[in-house]
Amino acid sequence: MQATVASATILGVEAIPVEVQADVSSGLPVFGIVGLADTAVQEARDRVRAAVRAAGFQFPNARVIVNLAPAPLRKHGTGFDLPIALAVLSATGQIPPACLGGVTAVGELGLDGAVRAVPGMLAHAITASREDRDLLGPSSAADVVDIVPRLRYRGLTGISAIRAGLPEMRTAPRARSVDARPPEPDLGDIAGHEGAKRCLEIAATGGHNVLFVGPPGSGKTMLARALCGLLPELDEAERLQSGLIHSVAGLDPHDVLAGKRPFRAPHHTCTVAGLVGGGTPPRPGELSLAHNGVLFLDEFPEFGPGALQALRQPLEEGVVTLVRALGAIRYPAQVTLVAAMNPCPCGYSGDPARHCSCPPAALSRYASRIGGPLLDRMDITLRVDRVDPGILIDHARTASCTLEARSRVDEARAFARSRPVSGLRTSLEPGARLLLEDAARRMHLSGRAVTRLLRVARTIADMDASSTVAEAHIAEALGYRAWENR
Amino acid sequence: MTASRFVVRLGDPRYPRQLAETPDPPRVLYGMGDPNALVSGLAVVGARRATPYGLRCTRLFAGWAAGRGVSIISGAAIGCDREAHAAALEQGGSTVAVLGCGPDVDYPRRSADVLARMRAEAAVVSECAFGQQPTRWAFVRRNRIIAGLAYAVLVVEAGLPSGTFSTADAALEAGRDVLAVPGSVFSPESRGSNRLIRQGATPITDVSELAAALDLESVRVTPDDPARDGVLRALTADPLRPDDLARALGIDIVHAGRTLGALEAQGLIARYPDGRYGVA
Repeated sequence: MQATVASATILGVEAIPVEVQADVSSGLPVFGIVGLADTAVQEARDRVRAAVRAAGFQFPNARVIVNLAPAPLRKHGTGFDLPIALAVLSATGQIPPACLGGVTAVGELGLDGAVRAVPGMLAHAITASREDRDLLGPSSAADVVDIVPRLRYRGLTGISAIRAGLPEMRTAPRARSVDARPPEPDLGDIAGHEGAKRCLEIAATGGHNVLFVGPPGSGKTMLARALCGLLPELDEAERLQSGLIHSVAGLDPHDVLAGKRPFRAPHHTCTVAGLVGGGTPPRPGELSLAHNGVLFLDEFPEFGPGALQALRQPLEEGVVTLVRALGAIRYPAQVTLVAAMNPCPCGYSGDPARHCSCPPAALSRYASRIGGPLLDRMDITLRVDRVDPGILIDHARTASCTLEARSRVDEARAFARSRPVSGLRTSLEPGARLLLEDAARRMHLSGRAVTRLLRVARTIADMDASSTVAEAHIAEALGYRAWENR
Repeated sequence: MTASRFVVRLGDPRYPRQLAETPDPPRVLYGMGDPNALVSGLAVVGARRATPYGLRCTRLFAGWAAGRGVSIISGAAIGCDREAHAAALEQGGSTVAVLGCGPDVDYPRRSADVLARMRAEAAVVSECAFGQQPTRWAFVRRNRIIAGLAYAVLVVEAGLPSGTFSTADAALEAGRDVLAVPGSVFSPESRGSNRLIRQGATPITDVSELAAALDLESVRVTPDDPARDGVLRALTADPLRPDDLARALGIDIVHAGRTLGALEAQGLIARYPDGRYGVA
C-alpha cells in the first residue's frame, strides 16, 4: 500500500517542492525515512508515531518506509512531520487518498497531534500560490500567509481534524493592524544634534549609508534608532519580500507584514554567517533581515575583519550570494547602513572635556580596521559630539518631530520619482560646478568622493524640490564628506 | 563680417588705462569686437611648439581664471596662445587677442576659428591698421601690448631661446608680475620657464597658487550674505562645531551647513579632525 503527499523544503528564500512517498508493507515493524533527510527530519519518526496515536488513528504495526523525492536534494526542518503522517494515514486507508490531491502539506507535529508552524511558511505559501495548489498547514500561520495573493490556505489545529476531510478554505485576507504609535525614539526627544538630525533626513530620503563618529555617550545609537521612524511604510511588494526573509529565518514577520521597516542592530561579536547569512542549512543573516530597512552596526571597527569585508559586495549589489556545493543561494539585502564608531580606541579623541590617552599611531590603526573600500560606501560621515548639559536640561519635547520629518521625506521621495532622470553631472548648475571643482582641487577629493558627494547633493536638491543641483546643495554635501587623511 | 570695428587713440577715455601707463604705449589701437573687453587681465603666453603638458597647463590655468571673471589676454598664436583663448571662451569668460597684423586678418590661419569667435564675443586688437599683413617685427612689438594690457603674465611653457621672453621682459619693464609654470628639467620646452623661475618669477603649480598670485579671493564677486560674514567672524574668534555655530548665530542648521561648505570650498575655513571648523 502506497501513498504520496506533496510538501516542500526551504532553500534560500524559496520552497522547493518535495514528494513524500510512504510504503506500508508486511514485515518486521520498522519506520524508516530515506532521501537525504537531516536530523530534524529523522526525528519526525517519533513525533509522527505519537501524534498519529494521540489523534485516535492507528500507527501500522508493519514495515513503513518514507521516501523524500527528489532524493539528491538535501531536506531539512520539521515541516515534513505533517506530510509524513498524512502519507502513512493515506497508505493505510485511514483517510481517503482523494482528499490529498492538489494539496501541499507543511507543518510540525506535537506528540499530542497538534499542528505547529515552521519557519518559512510564507515561502511555502508563495510556491503553492504560484503552482496553483492548496496549502495545508497549521491554522496558527493563517494570519501570516494571507498576505500572499490567490492563495488557498487550509489551516489545521490538530491532525485529528483531518478525519472530517480537509478543513475550510480561507480566502479573504484579514485587515492588518498598522501600528499607529510613532516609532521610538522621536526626533523631538533628542536634544541638540541638529546637524545629525538633518543627516538622518537626507539618509532617509536618498537611502544613503551614514557613519557617525563620536565619543561614547554622545547619542550615536539613539540617532541611528530614530532613522527608522523617518522612513515611509513598506509598500505591498516590500512587505512580502521582507516578511519572506523573516519567515524563512524563523522570526516573527507580523511587524514587517504590517508595513514596519525592519531595524537590525547585531552586536559586534556577530559572526560572518550571522551578519551576511550562511550556515547549514543556510539562513539569512542580519544584512538580509534588514532588507528594505536599516542595518545599524554600533562599534563599527570592533566587528571582525572578515565580517566587515563580507559586507562590501552585498552593499554594492543589494543582494547576498552564498555559493554552496549544490548551487548559489541569493538573499536580497537592500539596506540603509548606519554605522557608529568612536574616533579612537579610548573614545575621547577630539572631545573637549576629556583627554584622549591613545598614542597617535593607535588612531590611524583604529580607523584602518574598517578599510577604505568599506568606508567608500558610506555616503555621509558626521562627527557627533556630546550635547552641552545646558541644552539637555532645557530641552522640552514640543511635538513629534519624527512625523513632521517623515512627511518631508515622503514629499522629497515623491519629487525624486517625478523629476526626469538625468545623469548626476548633467543636472549641476554652472555655479555648483565651479564650487565643486574648487573644493575638489583644494581638498584633494578622489573620484569616488566626488561621486558620493554628487549623490548626496542630488538628494539635498530633491529635498528642496529642485530639479537642478545648485551651489548651496554642493556646499552642504561638502560638510558630510569623509575624513580622508586620518 | 558682422563684427564691429573700433579705433581708440591714446588719450581717448576708452583707451585701456593700464596700457597707457606703460613706458611705450601704442598711439592707436585698432580693434574688432567689443572695446569694453579691454579690461586688465591675465596674460597667458607660451611656446608655439607646445607639448601636451603645456597645453594642459594652459587649459587648466586659463580656464580656471576665466571662469572666475579674469580676462585672458594672449597672442592667438598656435599652441599655448590659441589654447588659452579657447579655454577662456569655453568657460564663457572674457578674452582679448593682440595681433601683429590688422585685427581683421586671420593670422595664423590655424587660429581663424578662435579669432572669429573672439571678434564676435570678445575683442581682437592690434596697433596695425585694418588689412595690414603680418610682419616679423610687428609680432615682437605686439608682445609689449600683451604685457601692458595685463596685470600679470603667466608663462606656461617656453623653450630657449623663445619669443615668449620678450613678453616677460616687457612685463618687467611695465612693472607687471611674471608667473611661470615649472616643467621637467629634461624638457627643452620648459627650459625657458624654469629659467624665469630661477630669475625670480613666481612659480605656479596649483590653481590655489594662481589664486593667491592674482589675489583672486578678494577679486571674486560673491553675493552679500550677512550670515556668511557672521560665520567668518565667529570662526575667527573660536573654532566651532556646526551645531554650536548655528545656535550661537541663531540660524538654522541647513543654512549653517551650506555656508560652512561654501566657505570651505573657497579655502577661507577648514574642517578640523575633531569636527570643528576654524579659519584656514
